[in-house]
Amino acid sequence: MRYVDEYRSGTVARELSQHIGKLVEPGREYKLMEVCGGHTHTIYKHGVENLLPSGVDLIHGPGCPVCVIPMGRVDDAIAIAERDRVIFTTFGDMMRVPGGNGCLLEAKARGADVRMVYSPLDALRIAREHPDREVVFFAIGFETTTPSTALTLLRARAEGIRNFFVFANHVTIIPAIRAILDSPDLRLDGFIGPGHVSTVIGTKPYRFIARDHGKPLVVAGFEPLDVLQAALMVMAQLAEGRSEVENQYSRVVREGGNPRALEAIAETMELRSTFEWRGLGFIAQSALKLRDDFGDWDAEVRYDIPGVRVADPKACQCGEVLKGVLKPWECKVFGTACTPEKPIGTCMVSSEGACAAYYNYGRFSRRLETLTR
Amino acid sequence: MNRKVSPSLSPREPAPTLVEHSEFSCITCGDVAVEAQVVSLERGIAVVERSGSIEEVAVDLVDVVVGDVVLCHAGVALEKLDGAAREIEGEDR
Repeated sequence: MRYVDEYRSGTVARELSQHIGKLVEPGREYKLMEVCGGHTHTIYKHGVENLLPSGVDLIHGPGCPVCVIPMGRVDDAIAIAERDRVIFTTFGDMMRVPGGNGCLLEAKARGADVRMVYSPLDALRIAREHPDREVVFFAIGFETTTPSTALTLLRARAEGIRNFFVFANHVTIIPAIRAILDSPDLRLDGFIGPGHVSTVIGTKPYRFIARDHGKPLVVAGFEPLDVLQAALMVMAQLAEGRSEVENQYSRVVREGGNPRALEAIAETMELRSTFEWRGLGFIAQSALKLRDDFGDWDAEVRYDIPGVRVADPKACQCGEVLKGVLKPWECKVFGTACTPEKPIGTCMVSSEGACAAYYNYGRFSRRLETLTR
Repeated sequence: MNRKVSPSLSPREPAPTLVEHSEFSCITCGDVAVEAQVVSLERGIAVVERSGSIEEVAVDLVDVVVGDVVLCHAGVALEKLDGAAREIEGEDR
C-alpha cells in the first residue's frame, strides 16, 4: 500500500521506540496524554503502547465527541426526534449512545423518523427534498466537525431553506484540556495534541499549556509512526527541560489553522456560558450555540427542549476513563455488562472511545498485566 | 473462569450502524478526517476519490484544483495537503 506503508514501517517504529527508550530517566514515570480519540484508536489498533518503554504510559484523553455528550442531551435529542413531522438526522455513532430513556436507534424502532447522515450537508439536502417536514441535525463534534455545520447553516440561509434546524452540541477542545490540567487527580508530563482539530484551530491556542503549565505539547498525525514520533518529540522536550508547542503533523496543520473555517464558525456560532461534559462536569465556555442571527435555524429556539439532567449509571466509569484516571479495562463493567453491541457508557460506543478501541484491539499482554495485578 | 474475558478472544458481533461504513473508522467523524484526491470540481463541490470510492465534498474552505489531495471530514474539505498532487491508496484508517 503506497503512502500508507511509509507511516507504518516496523523498522522505523523500532528505531523511534529505541530513541524514546534512551530518553527515559531510570525510575521516572512518564504520563503522556493523547487528547484525541483518533489517536486512541490508532494506539490500540496498531499496538503503539507496546512499543513504548516501561515507565512511559499513554493516558487517553477526552477527545471523542460522542463520549463527552451527557445522557441528558441524548434524551433532549430523542424528545425532538419523537415530535410529529420531524426528520431527525445524526451521525451513526450518536444513534447508539444511551440516554436515560434508551437511544435514538430505539426511538427509531418506536416509530420516530431518525436517519443517519455522513454530513450536515446531507441533512440539508433531506430538508430540501422534504419541504413539508422539519429536518433537525444533531450537531456534535470538536472543531474538526464544527466547520461543516457552520457551512451548512450558511448554505441554508443563502438558499432560504426554513425547514432545517441544528441542535448544536459542538464542543471546543481547549477548555477541556484546561479542565484536565486543573484536575487534582491527574499528573501529566506532556500532551500529544489533536491533529485534525488543529487543522482548523492551528497550533497557537495550545501555547498556554507550554507557557503557563510547563507541559510540552506536540500536535500529531494519525498514523502509528506519527504518534510514536510525537511521543519521541514530547520525551525529547522533557529530557531537555523544554516545554513548547511543536507540530509533528506539518503536512496538514498550519500554525494559524484554517482561517476560512474559523470565520464560518464565528459567523454562525458563539460560546455558551457553560456546557455539561460527560465525566468532566460543567465547563465554562466550552461549547457553541447558534448566534441569534441564526435563530430561525436553531432547534433550541424552535422546540421546547426538556433539558433534563440524567446521572450516569452507577456502574459506568466513563468519567474516570475520559479523564485518564482509569484505564478502560479497569472499569467494573468493561467487556462484561458494557460492550460495543450493548454499551452502558459512551466510551464503548464510538470506535474512538477508549473502551471500544481497547475492546476491539486490546493486546493479550495487557490482559495478563490486569489479571496479575 | 475469570470473569474478565479477553476482548480479543471474545466473539464480536458487528455493530450495525458502525460497520455499514467501515469497520475501522468512526463515522461520527469523531475528529478523524480522511485524505482524498480531487478528481473533478464544479461550483464549490468537489468529487474526491479514495481507494476507489467516490464522494462529494464542499470545498468552500480551501482553494483546490483537480489533482490536489485534501483532508475531508463530514462532507467538507478542511485542508489541502502539502506537496505535489499524489495518489492515495490503501485502507481507510
